[in-house]
Amino acid sequence: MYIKPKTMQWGASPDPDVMTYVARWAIPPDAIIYDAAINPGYDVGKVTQCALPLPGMPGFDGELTIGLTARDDVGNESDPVEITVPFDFLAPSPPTGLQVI
Amino acid sequence: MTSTRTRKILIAVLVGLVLLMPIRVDAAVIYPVGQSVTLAWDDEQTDIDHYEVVLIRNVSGVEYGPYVTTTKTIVIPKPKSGIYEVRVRGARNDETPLEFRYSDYCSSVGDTALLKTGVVGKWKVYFKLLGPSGPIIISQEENHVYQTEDDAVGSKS
Repeated sequence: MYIKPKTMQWGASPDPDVMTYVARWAIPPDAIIYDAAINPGYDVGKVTQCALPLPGMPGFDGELTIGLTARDDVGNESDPVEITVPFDFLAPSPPTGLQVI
Repeated sequence: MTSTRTRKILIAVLVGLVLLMPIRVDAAVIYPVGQSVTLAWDDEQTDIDHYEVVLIRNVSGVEYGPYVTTTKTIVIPKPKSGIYEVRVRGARNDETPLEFRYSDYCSSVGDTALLKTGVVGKWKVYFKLLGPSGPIIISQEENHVYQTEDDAVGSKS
């Protein structure tokens, strides 16, 4: 099975205290939960792009909202930026009935 | 019979003790601020040489300052993102040059702190962390590009 990865890019925070970026997601119409105690999200590191799908993302075909926050050394997080786009993270079913003819 | 009565009396005493215990409330109002915060305090003394303000960062406990002022107000730039307790103390010069006597600290989480409304209350300031800038762009080779500015432009990839 192979899911062709996509690339997500963003502009770096101008804040010098940023230690890492955290991605969270939800399937619309659900809103993303940004409470780190409930939804810790996925730490993508101090980068400005990453490959999708991220570990833990649902394998599905449909719209997904992704939210991105910056996090400092003690766990404070910035306001998020969000994007909602259609994804297809489902690989097609394998062929069946393989035989020699 | 006696033990049941004794037990009831003990329970009653325990309940009474619990009800009489003072309730400790540590909750503080968090004031989000931008890249600086303006602080002010009261002091009727006229012989104060200067005031020293320090910020205590939540979680790490690191102290920033002292920020010094000769007035009863000060603007402090964001030292680092995070939530801070604020403390101020007065310093009086006692004859010997550059030797000061310091008051106790007045803390933003102390009993004399005032909220913005002017009523007594504990507070802290939150220097917010700046988030990612620019639009999020999602791309795939030989395919459509999505970005936040126009909210999902293009067709399904």
